[in-house]
Amino acid sequence: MATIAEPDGGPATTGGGSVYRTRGLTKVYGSGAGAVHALRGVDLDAREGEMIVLLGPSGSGKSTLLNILGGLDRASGGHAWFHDRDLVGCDDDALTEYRRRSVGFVFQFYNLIASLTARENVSLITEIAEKPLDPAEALALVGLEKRLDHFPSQLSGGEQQRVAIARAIAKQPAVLLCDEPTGALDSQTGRMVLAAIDEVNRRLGTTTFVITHNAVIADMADEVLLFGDGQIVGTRRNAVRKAPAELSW
Amino acid sequence: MTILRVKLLRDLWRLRAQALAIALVIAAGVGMVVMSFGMIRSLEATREAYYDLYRFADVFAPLRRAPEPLMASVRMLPGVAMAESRISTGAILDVPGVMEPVSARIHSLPPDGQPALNRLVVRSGRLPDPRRSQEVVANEAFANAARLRVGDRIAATLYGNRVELRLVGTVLSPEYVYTVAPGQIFPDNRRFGTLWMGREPLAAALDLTDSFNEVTLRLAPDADQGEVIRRLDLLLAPYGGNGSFPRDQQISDRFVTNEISQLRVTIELLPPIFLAVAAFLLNIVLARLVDTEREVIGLLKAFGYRGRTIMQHYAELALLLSVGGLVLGVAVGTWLGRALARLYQAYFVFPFLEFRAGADVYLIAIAVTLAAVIAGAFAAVRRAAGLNPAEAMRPQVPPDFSGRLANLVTSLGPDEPTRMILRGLIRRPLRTSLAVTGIAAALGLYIASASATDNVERMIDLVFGQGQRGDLIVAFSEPRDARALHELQRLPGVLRVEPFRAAGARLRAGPRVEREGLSSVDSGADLRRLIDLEGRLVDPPPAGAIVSTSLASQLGVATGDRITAEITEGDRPTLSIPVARIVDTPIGASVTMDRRAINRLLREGETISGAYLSVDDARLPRLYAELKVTPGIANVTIFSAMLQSLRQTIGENMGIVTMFNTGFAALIVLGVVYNSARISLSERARDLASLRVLGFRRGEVGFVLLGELALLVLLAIPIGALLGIGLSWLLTEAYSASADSHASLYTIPFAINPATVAEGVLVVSGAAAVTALLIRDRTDRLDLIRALKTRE
Ligand SMILES: Nc1ncnc2c1ncn2[C@@H]1O[C@H](COP(=O)(O)OP(=O)(O)O)[C@@H](O)[C@H]1O
Ligand SMILES: [Mg+2]
Repeated sequence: MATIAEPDGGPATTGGGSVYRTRGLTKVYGSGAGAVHALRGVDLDAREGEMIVLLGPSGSGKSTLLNILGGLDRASGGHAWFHDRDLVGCDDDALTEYRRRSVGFVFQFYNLIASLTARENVSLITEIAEKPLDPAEALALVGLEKRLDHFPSQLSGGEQQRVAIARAIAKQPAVLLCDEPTGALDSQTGRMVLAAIDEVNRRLGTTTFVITHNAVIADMADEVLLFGDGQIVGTRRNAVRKAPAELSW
Repeated sequence: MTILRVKLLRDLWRLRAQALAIALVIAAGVGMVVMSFGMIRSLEATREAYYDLYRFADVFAPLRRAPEPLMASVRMLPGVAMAESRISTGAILDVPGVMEPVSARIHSLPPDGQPALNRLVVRSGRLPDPRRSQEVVANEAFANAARLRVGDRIAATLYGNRVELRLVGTVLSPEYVYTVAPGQIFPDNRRFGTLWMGREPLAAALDLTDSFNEVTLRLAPDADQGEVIRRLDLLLAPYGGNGSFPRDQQISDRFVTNEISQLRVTIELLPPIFLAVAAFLLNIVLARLVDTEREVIGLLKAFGYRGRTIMQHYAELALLLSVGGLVLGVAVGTWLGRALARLYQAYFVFPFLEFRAGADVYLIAIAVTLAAVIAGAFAAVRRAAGLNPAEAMRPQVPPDFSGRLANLVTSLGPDEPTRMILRGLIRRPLRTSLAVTGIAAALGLYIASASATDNVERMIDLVFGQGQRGDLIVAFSEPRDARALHELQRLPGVLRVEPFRAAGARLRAGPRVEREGLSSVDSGADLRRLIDLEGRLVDPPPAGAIVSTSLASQLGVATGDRITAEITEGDRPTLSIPVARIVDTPIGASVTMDRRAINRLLREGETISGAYLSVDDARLPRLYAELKVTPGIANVTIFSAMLQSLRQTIGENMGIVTMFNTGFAALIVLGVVYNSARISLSERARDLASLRVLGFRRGEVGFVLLGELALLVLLAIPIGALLGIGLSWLLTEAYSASADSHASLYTIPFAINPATVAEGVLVVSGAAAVTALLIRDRTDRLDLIRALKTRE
């Protein structure tokens, strides 16, 4: 269960199966008159193995939160615990090691390396991982066993995004963070990509965050965090997770 | 192999065209340094080895006449390791097939052929048989230029006697690495030669049996040269000798040293600049190249690649991009260095070449290049890594186009594509100025390299076009009364004669000594005038001497000081001459005075040493025939012939060096322009593809990219031209500084030809045009879908 927690909480106890726990997380871009308050105090708890959807309008601070949780960016204030480690106090090297060991990312624009094939794009990550899947296995998990040696330019957008998912999960990360993974895709392709994410979450039990501004997608989540103007303005738990194939938009 | 390595190799393949351009820039920078230093070191090593192996004398002592037994006393002098006497004289030769009279220097050979000092290298035939009085050998360059073959007969006028000689061989001598007639500074091998013959017949012709008129000697390793010369002069003074001089005042060695040090000036200035420019450009290119990998760097960071690993990856890319150029530069540089050294070997007539490449030069060139390249790559990686990875992966934030300058653009640009170009340049002022600097630097190098010949042409013009406007100089064996002028005037075809007085002298000022002649000019003269480095006519003062800047600095004298001149002819008086003016002259070390002032100083009547002649070309054959048999003439200098051989030398040596330099500069220009454009293309591929998608035509899209290139080149041209002119000026300044430091024989003026600047501009424009063609093809093939889909 992820809820707006009591103001003063310590690190999440392992007993609760909590992966992330944030308290009063803020992020300010710039300073002075031009300062943008992207996060205005976010408190959340994320349980291990769950599928969490961050839903909110564009510019509401979803990416900012995800980037901080993923160790790509640093908060301006507050706390963000990953298990019992506060990411807010970590230096660059520590964040690098954290990302390397525990986080898988999927981005809206895939960000594959053009000069590497699908398999090689995945290997790029498995090479530096501790207990990786075989790249081919990871690609099979997202239904791309027939596209192993294709270059990104030879793949459709949906296929590229699935390669990106395979790349993200191949190292068996503790968390999978997906920032608008379907944002650049049509609905049918989008469903296939979501199905791949759903599959990974169910099969590997990877705690998964999916950012979207598409309310329909929220139905595939265990937990939905509603975002608005730099804050969590509401949460919702789905009694049943819909399979991505059942979604339509 | 790790996947990053796979990426590395694929990237290299993708960047192959740019890699080639980078390789060319590196090869040019490294090649230039390796070539130049390899050449100069080889020349210096060769000169050393040659002098050593063939025992080039350390001291030369001409005198009038001394009995052979005196040599025992010479050998006894402390510090003398080896001494040898000989007979040396000037002569006029009549060489079959050469219309003009040929001046010659003749030296005697000891009975066993090879002299102990200044040994000869036999190139063809053999040395003269001392029992056969007619046999001579000649220096090879002269024999070749005059088309003399072993067995040919030569008539010589020796002290008024006509002697028949027969050529039995050709030789080289360390004493005549550079062969010029006395009093001249440019060689004319067809009309000046050196002969060696048996001592007996030469002594007989000169009435010097059992005597000698020159001593050559080699010093012991720890000898005090000045002291030996002083004692030698004391010893020889009763025999008409006071002009002993060390090797570095010997004309051939002075020339070789002079030329090598001029080369050294060029080499210590230009090639390091080449390398620095190449390194600077590579630094920029690599930084820009890695900048285009910004998103990849962000991604690698996002997935937990460590900074060190990423750095290493791009360092490897930079290294691999450079390695081809380094290998090429070292190989081509070594090869060209050797080729150039061979060229100079032939020019200086060294019998062999001692090639020195220099591991230190290789190492420095390679280290500088790699440092620049890797620093460029690192700077860019650090820039990308400094962003947080999420940011790095995001497409670049739309740049801020607001600002006063940009508003100006809006009002200036005639249409949207033009405004795109202008904004693109203004948006990144640093990048724009670096690109402009790069192209300008390459252009500057080109112009400075190419201007070398301009400056020499100017020197030739000053010396021959304005200073010496006659057709020939006739020098008498002994000074004569001015009435001798009438004899010259009466020779066939002579239009005008102007007498001159010249006297060999040892010049002293304080502790410093230089061996230079006094020479005269007449005010209002037409054929022989004193011209300064700016081309202005300098009139002789009624008394006192005009001293060239280089000689003045060598002697350490200023206007108003006095120079002591020990005259080495006639009664050998010692004169004290006031320095009236110090003038920058194209022909380096000289003391020039009014002719009658010299006469007065020497307490003689109107005495002359020879004359400048202007002649009627149509009657030249008859004039030459007469001169060959006229007694009392030491040598005849023919300007047109000298000029021709000088031009040929410049064409052969300087021309080739200039060609290499400009070739390297052109490569740098091409490499830089091409890379700038390619990187711009990859930076703007999305924008350009978007334009295409929006319905712009190929030509219009090409215009945006090529227009940017054109504008960069246009901005770079005036800056590059100024840089080139400045660098050329710096070079001539360095020349004259080096000339002043060792009393060089000539000074190269600064005289860049506008045509050279124009040529540089053409080369840059040409490189831009070639690049435009290559790039144009790429904009035509822009993959619209891909450019929009992926973010490369
Ligand atoms: N690097 C940045 N500099 C300044 N403002 C930023 C930056 N990144 C995001 N923002 C601002 O922060 C706010 C939240 O952005 P973001 O987290 O990307 O929103 P979302 O992902 O919900 O669309 C927005 O107003 C955005 O303009
Ligand atoms: Mg977002």
